[in-house]
Amino acid sequence: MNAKNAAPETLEAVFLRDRARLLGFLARAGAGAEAEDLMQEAWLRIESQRGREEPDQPLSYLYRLLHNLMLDRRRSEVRSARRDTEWADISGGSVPGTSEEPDTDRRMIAEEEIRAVHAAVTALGEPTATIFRRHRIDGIVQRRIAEELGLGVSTVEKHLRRAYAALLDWRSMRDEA
Amino acid sequence: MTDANNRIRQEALDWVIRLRHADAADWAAFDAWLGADSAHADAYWPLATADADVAAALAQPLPSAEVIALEPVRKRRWLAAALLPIAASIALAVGLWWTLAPGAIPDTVFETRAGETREASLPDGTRVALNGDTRLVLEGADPRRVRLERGEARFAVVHRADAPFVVSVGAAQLHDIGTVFDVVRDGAAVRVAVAEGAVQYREDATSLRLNPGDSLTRGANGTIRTARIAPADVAAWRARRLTYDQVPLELVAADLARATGVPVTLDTGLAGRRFSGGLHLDAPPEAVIARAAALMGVRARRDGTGWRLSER
Repeated sequence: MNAKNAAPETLEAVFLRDRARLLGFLARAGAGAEAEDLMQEAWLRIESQRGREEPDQPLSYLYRLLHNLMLDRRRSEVRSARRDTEWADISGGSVPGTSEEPDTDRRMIAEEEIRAVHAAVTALGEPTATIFRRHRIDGIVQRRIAEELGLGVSTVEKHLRRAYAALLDWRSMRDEA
Repeated sequence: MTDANNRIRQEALDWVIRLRHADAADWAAFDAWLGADSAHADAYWPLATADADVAAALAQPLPSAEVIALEPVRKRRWLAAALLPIAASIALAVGLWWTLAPGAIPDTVFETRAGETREASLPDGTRVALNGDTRLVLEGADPRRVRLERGEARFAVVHRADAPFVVSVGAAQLHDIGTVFDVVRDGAAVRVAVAEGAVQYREDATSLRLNPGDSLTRGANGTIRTARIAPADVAAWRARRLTYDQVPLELVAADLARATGVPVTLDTGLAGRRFSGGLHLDAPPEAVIARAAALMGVRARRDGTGWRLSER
């Protein structure tokens, strides 16, 4: 899986070499007419990082970059279609075209959402909640979490699946409500 | 959900987890999975979006205002009248208790101590936030009628055309018209501010409609004044800040006492003085009061367990 990176290639070189593959990835992910536009946006990001340290795995970095750009677009579409649960508003991440200052009620809902998500994670019980937080928020790999908690990797995986399934179900139910 | 859909959803969920720490080979496998069936992308993105939303909310610290689940103080009228004034604090969810209550439904009382804020849902879905040193009574038989006996409450009302939500506050009643509003009661003095929708203020022959950004102050002697407030500043105490536009110092002092839990009184010489400005409450009481006094241009000195504001 992990190719040894003797001399990692630059992001730019990999982007240009694997352009067709990455564009295909966006198409398969359902980007449709936005695919070229997303490639352009990714290129601008890469250019703005020129001179900084190159990532160890440029190809997986590029996949993630495109994936996240696509995710950002989807989220802001959903957000503007769902005015009343704008929890990103109070984090300072402004969405173009919406007001900077959330009104009182939107602010209340945002606070409530934050409380509700924290509560929903706590409600998973232990060790599931801790495993989820370590994985999703702290970015720790499953193997490390297993070592920390003295559990088997497969047990950690089971808890993670349960946590994600419960939280994502809970989240989409709230959206539909 | 069909078995096939179920399987796709499970796979999509696995990808949400796996992509957290994916190398190039994982991404290539994900790409191949997407390419195998266009239903895969359709299943994946909603989960990825929900995942990002959950993570964004978790990355936020819990809001600074301390919120404790409400424990209504249950008070039975007949018991209080016939036996002794038991105001037992019983930790019971309002909704649960509602369904269990036999026959005549007694009042439900919500109380906060000074310096404490709480939030709750009323049985009809209306959200209420209570500032410190507040007492709110849900009148037994009708979930759409509440009475603010003292302190400050902010309501986000679930509007129903057939059943207006009514807040009694001293001699006045507030009728919501689909609304987010804040009410303060300090003895006979009342202050109302509307963030959204509208409120009808009624007292004897007086009936005033308050729209978003309107505030009304009723003095202890019954005089009524209206003013404007930025809708975002209505119930700003919930975000641990207080905002004023030409508000009498008596009311500011009462707000500070409610928010800090420390008595704050005023020299008579300051009566009638007004203050405009914003105060933050995220500090120990003495620091909050010292800063507020400096901003108001007055002197704060210790007075027993509390503080007294006087001319500088």
